[in-house]
Amino acid sequence: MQSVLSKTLLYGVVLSTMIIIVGLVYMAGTYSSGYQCDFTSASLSCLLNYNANVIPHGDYPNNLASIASGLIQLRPFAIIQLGVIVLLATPVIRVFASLLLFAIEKDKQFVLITLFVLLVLLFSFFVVPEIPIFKA
Amino acid sequence: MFLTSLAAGAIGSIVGIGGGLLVTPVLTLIFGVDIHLAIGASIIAIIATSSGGAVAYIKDRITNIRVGMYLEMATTVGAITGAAIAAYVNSDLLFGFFGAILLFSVFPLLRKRSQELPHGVVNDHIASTLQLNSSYPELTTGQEVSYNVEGSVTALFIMYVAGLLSGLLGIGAGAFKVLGMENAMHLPMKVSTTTSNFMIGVTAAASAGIYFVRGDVNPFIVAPVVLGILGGAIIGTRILVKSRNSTVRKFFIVVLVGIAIEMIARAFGVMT
Repeated sequence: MQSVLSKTLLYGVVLSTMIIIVGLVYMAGTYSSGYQCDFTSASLSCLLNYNANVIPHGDYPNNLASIASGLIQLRPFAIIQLGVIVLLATPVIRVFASLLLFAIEKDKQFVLITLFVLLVLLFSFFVVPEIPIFKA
Repeated sequence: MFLTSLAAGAIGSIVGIGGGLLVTPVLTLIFGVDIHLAIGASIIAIIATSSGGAVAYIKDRITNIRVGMYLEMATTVGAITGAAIAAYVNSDLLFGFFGAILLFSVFPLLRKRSQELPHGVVNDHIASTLQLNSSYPELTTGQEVSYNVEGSVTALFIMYVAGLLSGLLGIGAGAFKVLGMENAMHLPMKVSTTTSNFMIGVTAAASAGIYFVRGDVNPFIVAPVVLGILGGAIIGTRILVKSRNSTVRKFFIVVLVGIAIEMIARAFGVMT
């Protein structure tokens, strides 16, 4: 059990790191974030205070669809965000892996406990962002 | 940014906290980053500290996976509740209140500052049903250390509050998790910090999706933070396995006082 969970986390972390480094190298190579306030036209503070409200055309890579479209256009920030998504998914995949391992060990109590945690996590990812009170 | 994150990753992975409370002030005060983006970055930092540290801690069998999974039931639900009510509560007041609670929880720790392992702990009903008691290999003595678990219900309640704070304030609330395991469940200190490290990633993940979709995750800030944290976590895990429980506890006390002071300072609007 330990070695499977440890390896799951390791692969997630390594994959995420590699994607983020690719994004950073690409950004340094092209002198561009792929979005507004490129290195040529704007200052550091623009990049540092860059968020979904600053980008008027609404293509800021803050959901799977905009990240995907950013990736197709090879925008460096979209690549970095993909790495961040992999990092975010790592603990969830770890919980999923524990669920399978407890099931193999026929540990009913922990299958239920882990299933509960997994459902809460999936709920937080896919249902919660759609509920208006969370958007504030 | 990278160097701060390196330090945050190393400290965080030793004492079982996410390092968010180190990353956030540096981003806002030194780099002039907006508080929302700083919190977004610190949530990602927490996940990096957790995943990066847990790779080694699980392999070394110090993390108690069963205790972690059991308590995650409460932290994840707490995190969602916290994110839901975040817009309706005064976070300054909460920072002040819980900063004060942290400051007071230093005293029971100080009393047992030189204790190496807990004594006379008897498994409670939940702990024996779920087989939460376990053992871990202690590298400083080369022995396998067995331990029991008590206070399972109290700990579950503390974890709900920890999760609530994490969703509400955008912190990992690792300090509260360590305190819950240390003062309610009476686990060996290293088991408490590594199991907290194991859990904070899942708690943070439960609220990270909300921050991400809201657009609070800025790749320009997050990229150096993540790389720094992961590097720091590798250093931190090397240090922890070779440290004594009492040393880890003393280090935790120092960090705890720092966190408490920072939370109280934030209540008075020092950072925003």
